[in-house]
Amino acid sequence: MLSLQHSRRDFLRSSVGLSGLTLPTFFKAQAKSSLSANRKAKSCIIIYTWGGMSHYESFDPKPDAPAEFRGEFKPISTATPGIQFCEHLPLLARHSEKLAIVRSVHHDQGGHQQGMYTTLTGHKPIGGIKAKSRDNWPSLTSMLSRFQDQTAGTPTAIRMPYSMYDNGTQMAGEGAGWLGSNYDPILLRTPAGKPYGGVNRFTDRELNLKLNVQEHRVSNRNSLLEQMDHDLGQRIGSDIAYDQLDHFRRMAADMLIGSPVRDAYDLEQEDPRIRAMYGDHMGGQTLLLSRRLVEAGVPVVQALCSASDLAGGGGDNWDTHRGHFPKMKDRLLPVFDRSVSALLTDLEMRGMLEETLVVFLTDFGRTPKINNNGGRDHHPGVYSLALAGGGIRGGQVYGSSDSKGAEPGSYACTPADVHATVYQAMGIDHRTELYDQLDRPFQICDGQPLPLL
Amino acid sequence: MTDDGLKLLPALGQVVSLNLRDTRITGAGLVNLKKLKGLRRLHLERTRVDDAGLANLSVLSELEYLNLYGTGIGDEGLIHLEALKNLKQIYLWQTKVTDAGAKRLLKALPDLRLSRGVVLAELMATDKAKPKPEPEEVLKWIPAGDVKPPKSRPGSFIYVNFENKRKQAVKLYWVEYGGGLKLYGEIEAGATRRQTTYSDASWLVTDLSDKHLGHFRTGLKEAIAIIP
Repeated sequence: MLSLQHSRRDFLRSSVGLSGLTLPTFFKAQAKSSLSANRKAKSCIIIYTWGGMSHYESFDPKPDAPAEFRGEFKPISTATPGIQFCEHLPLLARHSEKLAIVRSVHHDQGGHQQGMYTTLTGHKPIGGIKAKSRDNWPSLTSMLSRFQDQTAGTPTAIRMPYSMYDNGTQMAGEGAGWLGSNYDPILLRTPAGKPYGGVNRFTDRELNLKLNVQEHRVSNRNSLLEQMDHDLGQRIGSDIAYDQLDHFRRMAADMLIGSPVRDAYDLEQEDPRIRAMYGDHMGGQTLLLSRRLVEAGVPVVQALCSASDLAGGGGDNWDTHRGHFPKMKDRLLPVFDRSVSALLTDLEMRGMLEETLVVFLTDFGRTPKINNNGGRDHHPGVYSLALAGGGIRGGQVYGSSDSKGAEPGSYACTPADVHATVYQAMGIDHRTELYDQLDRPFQICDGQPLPLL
Repeated sequence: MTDDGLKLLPALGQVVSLNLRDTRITGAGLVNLKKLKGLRRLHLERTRVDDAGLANLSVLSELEYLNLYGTGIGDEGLIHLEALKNLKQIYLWQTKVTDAGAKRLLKALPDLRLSRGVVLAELMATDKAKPKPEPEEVLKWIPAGDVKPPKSRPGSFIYVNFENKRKQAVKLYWVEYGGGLKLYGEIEAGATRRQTTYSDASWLVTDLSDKHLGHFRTGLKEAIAIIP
């Protein structure tokens, strides 16, 4: 990987010498004028816990609340005096100095679709929303991708390992919406995790990179592209605009043939001890793949941290209306704890954490009062999110929830504010106006950056 | 990118950040960096730079970030860096640096954040090596005839070992969701091919002139598919 950066002023002065002939062509000078030169984060990994992660049983334990609110688990100290996590995040507790926890996020959308759309796009859904609609707001992943260098030879946004579904319906909010199909993140399936029947028959046109392509007797690129054309033409159908097909075709072909992303996808190339550090499950290997993709030059990656392969369909998400405590303790929290800790360790020791922003998003929190099925229900009234890396000051908590964990207690903020913070870290002005395909202007984000940097 | 390529660097003047990760440069090539007095971030991870080469960096007084993970440098090399008073981050995972060398550098540069990463030998101390999943069923061979291979359907991730028991090589095709055929390769006579695939997939076997011989349909489990 080669790149060099000048201070902006000097790049302009020396740009004559850089116009190709006097330098090896593999030096790629970066002086993107639309991105702030002061930004720390060059890449972003969005970790999404689908279904609504309980704030009580993660970043905002309430040991002093009455028993029917505080739940069965106890808090533990972290590496930062004054900050406590749920006892079932022991590995992550040691990384508290890297994390900025936000405990006062809230919105008013109680359903999975609406909550996820709000959190991932930063905007409230209006009316009925459908997946793949070009009227939707773009996801944070897509919007970030819009500001990256599109000619760099790698996809600008990848999401893994599958789309979010609720009762068989694909959720709206993961695509590029009105930004247009060029900014739809490429859907990749993580090539790992214990296989089982059940969750995710809906593979939603994902790209399953077949790693044995090199063994083909296909000797030239054209022939392979013909195969891809045929394959995609069959799969997508004829009602897709030509340029959309071209986008996937181009990206897919580039990924199949000798690009660094293809090597990154091959998890067998990773040291098995590092693979073990993340954990032998879909959640862990997806986060490992996130690191590899960022290292290979993909600037924006969205990863679902799920336990889907550990327990059939029941382990797929955090929506614990029943049997909440055993599910959290046995499946959901250990996978999250181990794989996120591994990711933070891994990014840090490779010197990548300062340039890689990690953002944790979820639909909403969960209800203060435990229900009759030993579960917690949906609760957007207040919940916790977290950020790390990319210039974020770790070891801090922003805002608080009230003593029962029901409402914001101080410094209330919204998902849009978290997005504004992400844009700021990535050097993007959150007040930027973009135009959709009808030339209507939209300000990309309505929030205000939180003082976390 | 080799040391020769680095020779062009001094002409660039005010470089602030330089990323040479995974290139073939060596310690000797670092002499070309000496003129980059404004350099603040330097990535040398996974290159062949050595202790002697690091001596060239001691003049880079503005350097704040230095990444040396995965290089062969050791305590000797770190001594050259003690003059870098602005150094704030250094990454030394997978190097020959010892506790003594790290301690010495931190004494010279007390505000430095030094990262040595995990000790790989200590990982997996409690995890037993996971064996590759063993085949649990044998797929049914459906010879070519009136029944055409059905289209594949999306499913869950599995492995199939295709064993070619014939005396000639065969070609292996995946039947796509739309019904087309996608060549995956050839299997020599008597050879086995471990193939990643999904449940509910159809795999068509032909001879080398594409005459259909038969097909398999995958189930939910790891399987063997014997081509008779």
